[in-house]
Amino acid sequence: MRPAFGKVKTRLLAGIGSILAACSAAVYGLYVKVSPPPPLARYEAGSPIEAGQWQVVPRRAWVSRDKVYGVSPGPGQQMLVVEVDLGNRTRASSSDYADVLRPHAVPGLAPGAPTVAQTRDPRLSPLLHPGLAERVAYIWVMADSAAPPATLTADVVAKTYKPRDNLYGVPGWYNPAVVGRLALPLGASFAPGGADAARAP
Amino acid sequence: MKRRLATLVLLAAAAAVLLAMQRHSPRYDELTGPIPVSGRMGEPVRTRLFDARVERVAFARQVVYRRFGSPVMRSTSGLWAIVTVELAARAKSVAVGQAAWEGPTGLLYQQTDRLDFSPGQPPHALDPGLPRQGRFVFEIRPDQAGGATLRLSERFSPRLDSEARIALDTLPRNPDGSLAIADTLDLSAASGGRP
Repeated sequence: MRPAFGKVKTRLLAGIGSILAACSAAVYGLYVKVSPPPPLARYEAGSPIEAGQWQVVPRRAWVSRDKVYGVSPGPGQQMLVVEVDLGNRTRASSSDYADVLRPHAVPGLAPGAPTVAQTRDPRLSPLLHPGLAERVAYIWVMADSAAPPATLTADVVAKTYKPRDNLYGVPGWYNPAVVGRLALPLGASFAPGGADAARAP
Repeated sequence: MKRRLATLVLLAAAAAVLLAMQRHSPRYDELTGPIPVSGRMGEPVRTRLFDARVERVAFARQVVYRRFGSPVMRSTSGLWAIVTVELAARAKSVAVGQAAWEGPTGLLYQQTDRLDFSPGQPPHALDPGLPRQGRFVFEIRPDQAGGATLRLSERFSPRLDSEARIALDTLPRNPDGSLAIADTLDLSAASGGRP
């Protein structure tokens, strides 16, 4: 009698255990699905943003039909220009900043990576060195006919540091994720580099 | 009881040894990384492909040069550091194109990319038996000037090849001991080696 009972008890326990395990996974999955993502941090002009490798201080944004920092729009195009101060927070010189800003809900915006120009001397994709912040302009191409919105919103994307990757064992920055949302009034036009009250830190 | 305890101790020791081995086994990147050749300013440092001897270091707040006949000025939010090196190829012709300024805290400054068409820009093409001067220009944070190391190699991130690491220990000083920083440095006038 006893061995049979023991067998039944064991089976019962094992069954309950596995059902609990399966349920816990389902409940966790449901929780992740249902619970809203944490609210995105909101940023505006002048607020410093820590975005992984970069310290970003957004300055101003405008739409231009003229040449800006050595970049000219093609025929039938205008350009969305966002000026930010970029500081390298990592150990080594880098130019891995093309993905830091992702504008959204801008009509007529051409897909693709922006052109990034240094404003100190108009230079494309400058190498930025540790601890030496520089002002750069992110430039996207827009269709000439598109009417720009009054306020530009853009996602701020940051990567995460990994002390060593799985393949080569080298440290690096991986897994881009949105860490905040930036709202900048979209000015009609600015003189590039001039009339710059926000330059002072 | 005693036997069981001994088994447990043995197991724990094995786990500890395995963990230590896992944590400290060199990674692929370290195994195939650059082979450092260390030296100091003023003495030749012999790598597999070239010899390098750092002659002098200069600092400036801005640099000027002539590009296609017109003057160009480059300012910086930090400090310009200009390193003059005597380079000599060993057995075959080689171009030394990669240099980095490693600050005392380990910050790694690659050569500046802001001096388009300035004279004497790397890569420096070397031929055996014809030593020449080469210049490497960096944009650094002022607190990274002292106690720095120059890293020199043929290409970026050499694999299983030597990399010169030269301690920059003789910096220009004012009479009062502070770092001598020129307001303006003319790269066209200071270009060594080739005209």
